[in-house]
Amino acid sequence: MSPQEFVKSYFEWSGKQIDEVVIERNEYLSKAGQIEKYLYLITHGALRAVYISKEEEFTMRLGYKDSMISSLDSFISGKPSKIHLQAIRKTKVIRLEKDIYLNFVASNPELNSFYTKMMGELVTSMIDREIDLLTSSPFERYQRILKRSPQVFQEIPLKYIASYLRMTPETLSRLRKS
Amino acid sequence: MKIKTEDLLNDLKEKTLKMIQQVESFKKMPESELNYQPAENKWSILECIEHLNLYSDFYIGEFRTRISFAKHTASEFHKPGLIGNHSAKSMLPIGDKTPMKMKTFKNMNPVNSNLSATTLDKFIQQQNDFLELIDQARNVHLTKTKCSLTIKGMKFRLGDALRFYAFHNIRHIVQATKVIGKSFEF
Repeated sequence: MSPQEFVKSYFEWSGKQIDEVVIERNEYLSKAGQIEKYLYLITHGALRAVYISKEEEFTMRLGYKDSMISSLDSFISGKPSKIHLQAIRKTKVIRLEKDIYLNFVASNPELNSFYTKMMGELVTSMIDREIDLLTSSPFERYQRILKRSPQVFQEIPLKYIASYLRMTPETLSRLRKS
Repeated sequence: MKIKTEDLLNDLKEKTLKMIQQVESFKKMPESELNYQPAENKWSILECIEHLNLYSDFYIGEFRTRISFAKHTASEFHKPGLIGNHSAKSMLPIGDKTPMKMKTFKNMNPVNSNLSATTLDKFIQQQNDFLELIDQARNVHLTKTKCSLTIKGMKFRLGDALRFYAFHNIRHIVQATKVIGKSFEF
C-alpha cells in the first residue's frame, strides 16, 4: 500500500476535505519548540529536517515527493520538537491530523499492525542512519546514500546532501566527479 | 515468505467449522446469558457475534464478487503482502492474551443494537457462506486477486483478506467464549 493510498483512505474515513498547504522555499513547515500535530505527505517539492545549535546546523533528514515526514520526536512524545522542518524549494504537503490518524489506525482492525510496521521500518532506517554517521570515510558515507537512496541526487541540491553527509559541498563535488 | 494455498484454505475451513460448532453451542444458552455484559465496557456474547456479522455483511459479498471476477487461476503458493500478512496474524490471540486491543469504529460497534438469538443464526449462515467461498477460492489466484477492505481505498491480496477475516472472527469468538469462563481452541 502506498502512502498516497493510505492518505486517501484516511480522508475518506474521516469525512474531511483534503488538507493541503504550500510553503515557499526556506519557509518553515514547523519549528523547534512547537508541538507537532501532523504527519505530512510531500506531494511536490522537497523539505529537510534540521537541528540548529548555537554553532552549527545539521541536516538530519531529507524528504521529497511521495515521502511522509514529521517532527517525529514531538509527534510521538507530545513534547516540544527539537527540530525544524524547512522547505528546500516551494513545497506542497498534505497534512494528517495526529488525533484523527491515531483514531483511524486504532479503529480499524485491518490497519492495526500498520503503525507498528511503520515504527519498525523507522527504527531500521535509523540504525542505517546511525551507521552513516559513524562511518569515518566520506567516500563510504557518500556510497551508502548513493546505494540506499539514489533519487536524492535528483531531488535535493548538493549543498543539503553534503550537510546530511557531514562534509563540505566541495568534498561532495569532488567525490561525485571521481 | 510463501504459504501453500491448499494449507491456507484448509486451515481457514477447519477454523471456521470449529467456530460454527462453538456458536451452535451458544444457541443452547438462555438469551439472558447471551446478553450478559461481563463488565461496563466489555461486550456480551451477542455483541461479539453481532460485531462479526457487521464485518461479514461487507466481506462475504466482497469475497463473492472478487472470486467470481478473478482473472487469474489458482497457483500452488500464496505470497502474503506485508501489511495484509501482519494485520491477519495480529488478529489471533496468543495464549491467554489478546494482542493489540483496539477501539471499534462506530459503524462496526454492536453496542445498543437489538440483539437476540437470531444474531447467532445469522453468524452460522454467513460462516456457511464463507465455507462455500473458501472452496471456490481454490480455483483463483490468491495473490494476484485483490480485495477491498471496509476502509475505502485500501486493498489486500485475496489470500490475506480471507485470513484477516477468519482470524478476526476467531478473535471475537475467543472473546465471547471467555464471557462464560471457557476457552475456545482453534
